[in-house]
Amino acid sequence: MKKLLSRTWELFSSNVFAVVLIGILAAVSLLGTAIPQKESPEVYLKLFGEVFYRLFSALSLTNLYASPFFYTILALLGLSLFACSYNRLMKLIQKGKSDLYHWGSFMSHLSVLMIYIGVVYGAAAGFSGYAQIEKGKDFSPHDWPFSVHLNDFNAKFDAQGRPLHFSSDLSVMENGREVLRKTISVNDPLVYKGIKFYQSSYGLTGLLEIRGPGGKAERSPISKNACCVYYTPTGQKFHLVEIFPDLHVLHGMSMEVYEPTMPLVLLENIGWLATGQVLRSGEYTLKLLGATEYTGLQVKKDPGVWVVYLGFLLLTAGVGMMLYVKH
Amino acid sequence: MLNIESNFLLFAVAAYGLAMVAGFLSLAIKRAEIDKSATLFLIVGLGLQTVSIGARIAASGRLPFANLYESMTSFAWGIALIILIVNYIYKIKAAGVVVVPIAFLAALYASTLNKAIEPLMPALQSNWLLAHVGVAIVAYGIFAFSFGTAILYLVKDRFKSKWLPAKDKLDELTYQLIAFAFPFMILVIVTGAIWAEQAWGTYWSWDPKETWSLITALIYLAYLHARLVMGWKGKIAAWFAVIGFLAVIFTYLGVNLMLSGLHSYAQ
Repeated sequence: MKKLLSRTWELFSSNVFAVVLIGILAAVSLLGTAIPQKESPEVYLKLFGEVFYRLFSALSLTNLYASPFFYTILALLGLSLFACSYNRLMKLIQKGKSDLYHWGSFMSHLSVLMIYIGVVYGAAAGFSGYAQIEKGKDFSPHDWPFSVHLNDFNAKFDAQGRPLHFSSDLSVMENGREVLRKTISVNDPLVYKGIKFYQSSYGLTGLLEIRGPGGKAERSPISKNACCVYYTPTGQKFHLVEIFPDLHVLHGMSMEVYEPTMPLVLLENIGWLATGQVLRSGEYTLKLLGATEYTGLQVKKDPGVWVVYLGFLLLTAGVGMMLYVKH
Repeated sequence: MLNIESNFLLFAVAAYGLAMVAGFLSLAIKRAEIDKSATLFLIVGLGLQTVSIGARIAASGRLPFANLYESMTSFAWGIALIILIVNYIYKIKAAGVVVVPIAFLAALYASTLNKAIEPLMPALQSNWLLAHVGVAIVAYGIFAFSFGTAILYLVKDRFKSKWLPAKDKLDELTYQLIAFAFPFMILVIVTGAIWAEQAWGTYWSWDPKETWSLITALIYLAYLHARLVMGWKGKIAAWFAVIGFLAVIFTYLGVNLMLSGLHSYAQ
């Protein structure tokens, strides 16, 4: 048993083993860029056909970077890094090889372990999600002591209709009063109690009124994120193709500010529907009551990020000390 | 302004082309003066391209790092400068003969790309853009030179040309270049990760560009391990350096041209 342990330790301390693992990690990572990741079955069927799709998904090559196989490679590399860091530390202490090169070598190996720890800690103690808030509404998960209110949303576009800048004016509300207010944009998130809110997307939510064969009217929100609405009595489905803030955008003209003046929707197989208009489709009568802007936020808590950043610092310093200082 | 920018880029392409031809000629005719004239053409080309890039900076009001044209012309400029610096420090004749064509091709390719000045898309509106692309140009430019010396090593190994630098010198120079560039490659990934955390809320998402930058770093990491702790030298090390730079090219260009992902604006 003792012999087995020392053999294992030897293996993980081996430079050849480490280089082989580095090579395997590179090759497997490459495979994950050759096969698109986390796509829908239709995409794979179109690209590779049924046989290969089944093979790829059986081997979890369609979600490679989250597969047990990939984690195993990372774990083996982690063990190798641990053994190498330990051995390098022993060299520093026992053999008195405490020049910059050997310190750098120890630091750079330790730093990658630190990044590992930061990633795992962040994944275990944090969360990540998406929030869609309409203008004037709140985002308030039931287990949070605070809520986030969208005061306003702004977007500026260039002549081709591409966004130049988009921002959300947010208020953090706690116990009925505003404790923080910030206008966030891409590259400038809001942070409150360790939770970060990133500007991610934006759009419009339309309110559609559907009257079916029975004469009963139903109101449903419709947006690009929830592309379809159902008329419950009959189960009839209406599919949204696009929703526009006004006619100017439809005709390809630019807007200075993203403020819907006369929202309109395009429904698949049915046609255009402007605010206030009524459109008939078979036995159904559709009416667009209006549309509200929403902001799409990436919501995240990652307490491990500082450990990762410390790892980055240590890695850069360690590699620099190893390679830039003459030995 | 566009005229100065695009015309001077074309002049620079011509100068780099002359430098390239002079470099090849110096190998064939084996005359030191021709090798010197290659350096001279390179200096002239760098000057001309500096005017072109200067005009671009004046017109756009920012460093030319945002799209493929801008990064490609900066990359060519960076390689030309790196060749002159390395030649000045090491004084190994003909060491840059394979790298000058890379500067030439990069400048030529840049001259064919769309030069319209476009506003930065929201994700790029960050100071991290400067750091991220800046360190990438240094890393990729020096890796390009290490590719050049590795190729020369392999050529010398095969044909025993007397005019080419000694194999030991090429081997050592290749190592020194990779060792110098590697921390910059680490910084490319680190700055990219910190920027992604700020813009998208995640420092790593296995996006193809990210993954390929990691693959590139891993190849050079294997090279450095093999060399520093296992004592690998010579031919196998040279092949590693060649493969490493092919990975650089794929990370820089191949990913954008062939794969989709978060870096698609660089097209």
